Amino acid sequence: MGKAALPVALGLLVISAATTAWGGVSPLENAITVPSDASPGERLYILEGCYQCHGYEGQGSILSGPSLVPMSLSSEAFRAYVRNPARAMPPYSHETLPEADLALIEEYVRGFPQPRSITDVPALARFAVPEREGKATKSVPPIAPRQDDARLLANGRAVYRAHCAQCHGAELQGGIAPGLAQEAGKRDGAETVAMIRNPPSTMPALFPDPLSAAEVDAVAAFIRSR
Amino acid sequence: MSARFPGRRDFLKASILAGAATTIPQSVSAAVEGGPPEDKKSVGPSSDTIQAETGSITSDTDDHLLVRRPGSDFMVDLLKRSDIPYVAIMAGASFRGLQESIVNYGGNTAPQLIVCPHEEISAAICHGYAKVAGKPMACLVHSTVGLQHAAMAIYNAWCDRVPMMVLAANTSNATKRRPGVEWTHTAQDVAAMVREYVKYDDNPVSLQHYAESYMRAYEISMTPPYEPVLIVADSDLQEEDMGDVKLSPPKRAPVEPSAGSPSAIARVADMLVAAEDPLIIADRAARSQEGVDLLVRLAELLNAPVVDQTGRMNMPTAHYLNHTGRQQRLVASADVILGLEVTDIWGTVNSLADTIERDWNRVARDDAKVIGISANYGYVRSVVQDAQRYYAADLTIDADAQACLPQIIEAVEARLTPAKRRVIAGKTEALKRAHADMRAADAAEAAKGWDASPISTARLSMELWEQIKGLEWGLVSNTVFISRWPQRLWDIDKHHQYIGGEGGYGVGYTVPASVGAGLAHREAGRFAISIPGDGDLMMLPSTFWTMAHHSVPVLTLVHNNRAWHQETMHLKRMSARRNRGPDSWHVGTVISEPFVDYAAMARSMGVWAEGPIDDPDELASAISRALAVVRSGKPALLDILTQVR
Repeated sequence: MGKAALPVALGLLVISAATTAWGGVSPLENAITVPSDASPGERLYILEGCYQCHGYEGQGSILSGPSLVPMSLSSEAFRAYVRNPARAMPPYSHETLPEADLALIEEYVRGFPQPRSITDVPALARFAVPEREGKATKSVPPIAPRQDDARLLANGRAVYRAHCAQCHGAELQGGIAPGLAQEAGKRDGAETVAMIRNPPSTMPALFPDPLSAAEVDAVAAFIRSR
Repeated sequence: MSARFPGRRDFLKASILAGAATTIPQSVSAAVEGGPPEDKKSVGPSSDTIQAETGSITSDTDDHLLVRRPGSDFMVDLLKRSDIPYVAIMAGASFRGLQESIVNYGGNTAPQLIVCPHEEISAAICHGYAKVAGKPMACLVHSTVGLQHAAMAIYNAWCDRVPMMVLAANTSNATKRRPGVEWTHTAQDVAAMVREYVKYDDNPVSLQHYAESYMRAYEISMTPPYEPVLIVADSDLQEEDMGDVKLSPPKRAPVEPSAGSPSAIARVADMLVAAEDPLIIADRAARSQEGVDLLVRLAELLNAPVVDQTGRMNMPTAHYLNHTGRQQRLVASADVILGLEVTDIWGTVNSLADTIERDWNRVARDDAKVIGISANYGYVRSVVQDAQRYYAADLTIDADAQACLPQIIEAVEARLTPAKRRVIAGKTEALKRAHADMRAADAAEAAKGWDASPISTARLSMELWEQIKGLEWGLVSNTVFISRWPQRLWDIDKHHQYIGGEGGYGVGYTVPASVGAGLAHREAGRFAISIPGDGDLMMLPSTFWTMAHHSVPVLTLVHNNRAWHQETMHLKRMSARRNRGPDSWHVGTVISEPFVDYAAMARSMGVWAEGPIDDPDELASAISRALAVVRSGKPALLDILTQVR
């Protein structure tokens, strides 16, 4: 919504007070404040409840839903996920969210302004990590390569659960992303590793950060062992 | 009938009255009969005779109307003996005796009455107080209806493992109850209403019995797991004269918390020393600053990252081993996980999302060893379900975590070889880098929506931090609803600076708990900071009167997202799954039409307040003004229109 102050009691889109299917309760657009200058996409983003988990600015929250800034999914992946989300996100069917409305929401989401650099915010500047500015993530120290297969697979399983399961499914069954249960039959080991290191556009880049080479090898081994 | 002259006094009084009835002042009789007044003496016994036979008929109140040594005075002696500083009350007839004794016998000092408009406020004040002070205060509740009001707050304290002395008045003797209200405000077993979430209760039938049960209850409450306890203060015991009965109030007898058997501690140390990637998870581990210091010592000894689940303040946020933000990653990679007073180990090593199927999956490695240390293991109730889902840890120890730490540290020290110490030391730089990266990533997230309106919770938190750092403060509200920004970006290093949340997630906790915590902080020369959600605030807004009446220095910043926001998400989820009513989720979940003016509400009850504030650039000056009020010893409130989380 930008800097424009959210009016305390103004800026409502006024709808006639007809009775509704909810026993006379006001329509949504009377109960929820939508800026009067909102774009169609912003309006839908609010009324469809996207802001509830992702915030009015797409900032997300550790309690409710991930940040949408920046939106790294392709359009195909974005729309597929909204229709068939994983975990607690509610599904948006074609009946409740027509394709044209979804397109407007997607356009609005992709237009979220990029956040300020923390070095430009005095209250946050002290957290900047100079040599890794722009690359700070919640990465872990590289895990030392395990010598035995059991340890390698255990390590790979841990990496999979932390970085891959959300899209490929806890049991490699797929979800927003393809299932991986047959990976060993589709590609050899080197090709699996290569795909993780240089993923297609629909897949986030995980190497070299947050995954080290050893972790890529481990998770590839794990996936191929299933 | 007089107890001393059971009949004679009344007989004599009757005679006097009879005599008086036949003795009409002459002037009157003359006027009635028309004759001149005559100087005649009245008939009946002389005043000397009456004096001799009745003792006194002066204007002094007869003894039988007075209670020289009420039992409730003795109850105050026990409150003082147990160092109860405050008794929170919402005035109730069934404890009029004890209330009067607190005021006139006890001088309304140690304990002092904290006056509340609702018993849930009374109990929640006790909850917040104890977490800062490290000892309980008391709430006095009026039998059935008062205890019913207090029940949810008692349950919150139960779930949160907090000591509390609940004194419930009652009138057990049916022959003493006046018709009507004293019957509906009495229960045969009043404690039954809350028995499943108090650790001990009793209904004493004599003052000596009361004394012994009271002291027992106090010690039970203060033995880990800390919990609320309840003693019934019967109205007869309160109001009857003790006479010459000799009472013997017991001394205090604190119970040392259990610290785990030597063999169990040895196994813990063996597992931790053998681990390549140990992880420590602490929830309500630290009961005091000593607990924080011990946890830091153990973590540094092993160079083990710590995930602080913030049931209390366990691990300093700026310490390089505080890796709370990396919990998912660390749980997934750890080979040994040490859980210290963790509320929900099952939910920590597994994941279960709110989906239709409610399927769950293990997050931790299949071969990870899990150790659970908690005083809760030996104290699980059947009806209430706060013990969470059963988890078969590899080693489970029924002991107080803080009490175990010295032995664990000693045992680990003894097992660390020079080679192992070198391996451990070799992790330091990588752990420091990971900690710094974690905080930098959190700062980057905080920058999103920094200039937005509604104001981001990150902006709110950091504007506040800029003004309180360097002061003596304590944050007394649950930070989960503001995305844990204080833990992620403030430098919290003292145990009193964060006290966790509701315990039972009972909504309405925050404002009254902030009063209790604020009382304790005030004693220590600090002020309290509270960031309640508007929905939470709306449950018990009358608390602000108590806050003003007792001048409790609480800085309240209302996280006003104009909704019971968790429920907006739930309703959206429901309608979406049912593929209908996509715009119906607001019904019953938003606080609008009209919006509430929280600043005006607070001012109406004597609290300085401003708002609503929706411009982030106005925050700093508003916080400065409010802070000046609080530092002068008064409460202040800012109503801030915020992003939803």
